[in-house]
Amino acid sequence: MGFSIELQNLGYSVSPNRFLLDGISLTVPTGAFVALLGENGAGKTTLMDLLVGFKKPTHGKLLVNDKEPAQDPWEQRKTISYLSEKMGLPGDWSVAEFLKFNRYFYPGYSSELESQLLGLFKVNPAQRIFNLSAGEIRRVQVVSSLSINPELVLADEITAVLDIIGRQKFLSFLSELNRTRQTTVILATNILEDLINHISHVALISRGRLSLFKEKKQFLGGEEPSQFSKIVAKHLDTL
Amino acid sequence: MISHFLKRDLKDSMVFWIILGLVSVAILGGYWWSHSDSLIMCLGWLYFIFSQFVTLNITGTLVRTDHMISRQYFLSLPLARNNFFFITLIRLSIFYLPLWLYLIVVVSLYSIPRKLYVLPNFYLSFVVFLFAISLTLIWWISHGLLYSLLLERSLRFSSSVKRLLMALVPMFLFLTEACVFFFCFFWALKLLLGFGALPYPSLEFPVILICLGVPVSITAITLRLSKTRWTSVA
Repeated sequence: MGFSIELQNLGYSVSPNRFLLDGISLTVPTGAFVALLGENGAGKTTLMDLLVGFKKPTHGKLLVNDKEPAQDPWEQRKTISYLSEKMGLPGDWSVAEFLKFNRYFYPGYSSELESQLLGLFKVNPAQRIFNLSAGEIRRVQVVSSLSINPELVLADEITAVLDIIGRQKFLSFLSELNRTRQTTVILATNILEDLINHISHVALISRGRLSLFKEKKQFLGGEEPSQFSKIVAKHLDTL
Repeated sequence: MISHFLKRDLKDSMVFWIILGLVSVAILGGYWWSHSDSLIMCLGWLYFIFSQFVTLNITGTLVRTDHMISRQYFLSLPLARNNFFFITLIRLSIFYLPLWLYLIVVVSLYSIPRKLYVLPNFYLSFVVFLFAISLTLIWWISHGLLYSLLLERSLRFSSSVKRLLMALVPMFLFLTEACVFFFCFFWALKLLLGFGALPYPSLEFPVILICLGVPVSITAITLRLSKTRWTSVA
């Protein structure tokens, strides 16, 4: 069963007059697949950092499955997949060594799922991480993170580094997790291609404020799903 | 949990430990042949450089190469972050063991032929010396950790002046604290060994306590600051 997320007047500032996030209120229901969209510098990554507990909100309330990430509910992280392009993996290790190291921390880790994902993303466990491209490193991260059988997936801009096939496979796999296990997914991205077929909700952030949070159907407002990118662009343009 | 990290650290740094061992044997062999004290000094420098070399590999701050695992990964693991901070300190301390042992052995070897053990309070002073060395290393390690975290934070500033200040202020603090440590331990040991006398002998014990308490407080504050920084990402 996936996690629910609740944000009440959430804000994060780096100085008294510089807010990166301000007054964000929304409730993400269990099993939702949310596309977190917004222009560059809108505050998507800051919100993800708050969700995973890297930063403490300067005001407001943030609850992930009724617990505040800033209070370090570490046991909860056993079922949270955090994927980010900022996450560096150890270049000196082989993929297999990294997977073995990572596996240790997650009691719900599935080696079966890991093998399935290794095959799906065509990752060679014998290769050294340093010899992999940026996209291949992200594939390793996807394999290690999704093999934990997550209740919540927080993916920050990871699709930008994956190639078109990798992206499709990643979105399809997330979709399957979301459908079969009710895993809640928050995907911050700027790549809208194919996204509409997988998501259930759209959240738009602009200059640190939530400008829209709607179910997919409501967001499309009767338009064809193929018009998704145009509708998003129109919204962002008017903000 | 800690053994999982230590095993991995040992595997990652095995080559460095082997090189350190071989060079140590070579230097000690050279000393046995030449009796040159400078060789023993070299050994100290070698252990010091070794301890510094591996620090970034463990802290995982932004100031790292592509070979190193990032702090974002560590902090996203299902580990209590406070505990993980102490695991990191222990992991770092392992690489300071050669330096720690070196300092104890060298001082012991220096004091035996000079018959320093006949001095009053020698054994108590030796215990204080062990405490001073251990505390200084803990302070040094936590300062190194704090410095790399502050440097990570400074990279986020847009102004180059702010970045420079953020790099220089901790350096200045470090040097000031190092002077305080040296001054405090020097006086504590001097008074204990009877090399210095205060105008009022009744003040000796409180002064020794203050001389030991100040470095303890500085270390506690440094540890606290680095723990706070460690649990968030700039």
